[in-house]
Amino acid sequence: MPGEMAIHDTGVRALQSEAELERQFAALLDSHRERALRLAWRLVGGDDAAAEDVTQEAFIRAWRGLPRFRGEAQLSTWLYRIVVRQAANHRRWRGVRERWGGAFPDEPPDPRPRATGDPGLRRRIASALETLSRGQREAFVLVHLEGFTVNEASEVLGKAPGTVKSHLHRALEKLRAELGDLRNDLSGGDHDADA
Amino acid sequence: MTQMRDDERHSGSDPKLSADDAVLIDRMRSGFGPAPLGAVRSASFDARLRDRLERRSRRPWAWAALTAATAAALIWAVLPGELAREGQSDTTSPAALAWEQEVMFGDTSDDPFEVEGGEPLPPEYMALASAFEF
Repeated sequence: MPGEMAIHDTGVRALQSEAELERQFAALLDSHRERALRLAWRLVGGDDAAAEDVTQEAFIRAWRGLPRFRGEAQLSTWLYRIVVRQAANHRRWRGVRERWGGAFPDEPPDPRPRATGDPGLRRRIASALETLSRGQREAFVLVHLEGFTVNEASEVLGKAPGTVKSHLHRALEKLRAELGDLRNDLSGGDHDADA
Repeated sequence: MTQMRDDERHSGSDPKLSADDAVLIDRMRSGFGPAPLGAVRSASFDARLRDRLERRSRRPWAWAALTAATAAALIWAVLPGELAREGQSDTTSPAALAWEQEVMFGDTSDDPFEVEGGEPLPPEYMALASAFEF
């Protein structure tokens, strides 16, 4: 019965036309470009070029997967899930490159510094985030730095809210140890800005 | 303070932060982030993304071309060998086999007394030849 089909098909939205897909994608890009890029930037440790690469790859995958997108989650949740995975892939490959040293020479660094704030503080925070496990880092960045709720983060990460909260708890413990001085110091982040 | 209560762990509610932790997180949020995109960078981001999407959409053709090239290379590499083997099967004719044996082991004809031209030896010569045969 067509009416029933329509109800059942609300979950499996067969997006009708190329124009409709393009409209959805443009809206997704417009609404989430900045936040996706910022999330990627924080997950890859503050590397502008890598963050852009990760974000673009995530949008490319979103575009390719859009016709098969099932409306079971929000489109944005699905996009951020792709971003988080792409960032994890990037980190894994970066680890391989670093292990093999000169076998894969790095691209020259982007000459245009785009990050804001104090470079010394930025390096300290990046190093502190590196001490976290992948799960802790992803949960911490999503919830505390990007402002996702625990439930949203659990959907993005595909983990139970309790697991996300455990990650947050442990992450905060480690970060207190690494960056404890920032908890009381409101004067600025010039601790090793000369580094 | 560092202990997480069970009800806190199992609920979906957001974690409660102490004032000090809130300061730490605020410092991290403001001190660790990229510069805002702005209109110009957004436009260049979109342009690069469009370019990558177009290149990806052309990639299936590249794969097809690569597959065809690989198949052609395989045929080129394998076919001459096959043809050579087919050629070798011609040499397995009885005449060719006999030639190969003759080249490698000398004359292997059954009748040691048969001479070129097909004319049999006279009986006395045959008797003499038999006397020296071991």
